[in-house]
Amino acid sequence: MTGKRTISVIVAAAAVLVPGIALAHGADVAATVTRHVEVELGVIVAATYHSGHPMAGAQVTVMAPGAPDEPWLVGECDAEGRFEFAPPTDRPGTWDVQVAYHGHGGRVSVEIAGGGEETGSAVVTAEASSTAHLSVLQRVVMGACVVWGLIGTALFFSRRRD
Amino acid sequence: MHIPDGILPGSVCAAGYVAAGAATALSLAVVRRQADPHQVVPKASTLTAVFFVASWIHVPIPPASVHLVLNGLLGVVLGPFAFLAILVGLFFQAVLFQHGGLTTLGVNATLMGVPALAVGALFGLGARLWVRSSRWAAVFGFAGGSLATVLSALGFAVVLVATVPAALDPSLRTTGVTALTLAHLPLAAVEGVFTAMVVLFLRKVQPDLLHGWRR
Repeated sequence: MTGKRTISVIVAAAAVLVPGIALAHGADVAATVTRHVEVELGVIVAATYHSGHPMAGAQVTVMAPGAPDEPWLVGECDAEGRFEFAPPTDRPGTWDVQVAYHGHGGRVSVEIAGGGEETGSAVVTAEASSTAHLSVLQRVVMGACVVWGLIGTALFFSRRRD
Repeated sequence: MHIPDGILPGSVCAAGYVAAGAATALSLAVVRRQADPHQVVPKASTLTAVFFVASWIHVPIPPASVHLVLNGLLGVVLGPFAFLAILVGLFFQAVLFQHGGLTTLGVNATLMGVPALAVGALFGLGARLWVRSSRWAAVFGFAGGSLATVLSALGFAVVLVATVPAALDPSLRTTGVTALTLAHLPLAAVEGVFTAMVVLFLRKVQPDLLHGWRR
């Protein structure tokens, strides 16, 4: 039993040290809605993997409000993982943008307000992101909590029974 | 290798949950038949932690980067416990880090966990039939680690290609998936070597930790 416990503690220590050097492998899709001088409405989608690399060439599907199953627009991200489209000003509501590349990707919903006459140059009216933005410290602490719980379980079940 | 929310149609997600439920029931039934299931919990729990952390380790293989999966290692060491460990690990990855998704948890667990169960069964069988020399241990460890990765990658490729939405260009998806599947071949080698090393180490220091190698 002692040998088993030693091994599980060594593995646990190695596991706890890892989050400091590594990042998750998912993807983050961010969308920014801008409104230019009068009518021009634009949505800029920026998709990156959690590793920081842009999702170049990823497939983009845009769904208009009220039609979640029917793509309004289909396109592809450029080399920087960016995609732009201009929704009509007369269709306010929640626009869904899905970015996917061989099974990795994310979905983001952007709120587009109707009408409204903005003045001045490009105004950012809405921003959205598919994943919660967590600092590295938050990620490490969250990861460590899970590992701690699992190791605690391991130690509980490996306790000596009389 | 984790499919996020919103990529797969609802029917496939539901089918994934059905398959994962069946695999969980099967695993629990097998575990319950063991003499002292509690004895395996410490190592299952520890390896769940290892699995949970492993996906943060990137191996950059163009065009994408892949990460360690370690489902083969879990199968070889845990046997029937492997599926349960993978299910718990995936749940935490999805909820805390949006790695994978809750709707696709069943699909992901099935695609990673079932190969682990298969490899575990093969490894246990190998341990029973062949001489337990270090050479065979290394061979079975390598085969287990790499086979599970290859099976999972193929499973993901099939699911992704079969469910490409009508609106998207299917050839683009196929090209992407093919590239990603090929990128998993070097990973399979890495996982095989890693699993073989762990098997050799455990065989030396604590052979009864290996599934089916009880003395």
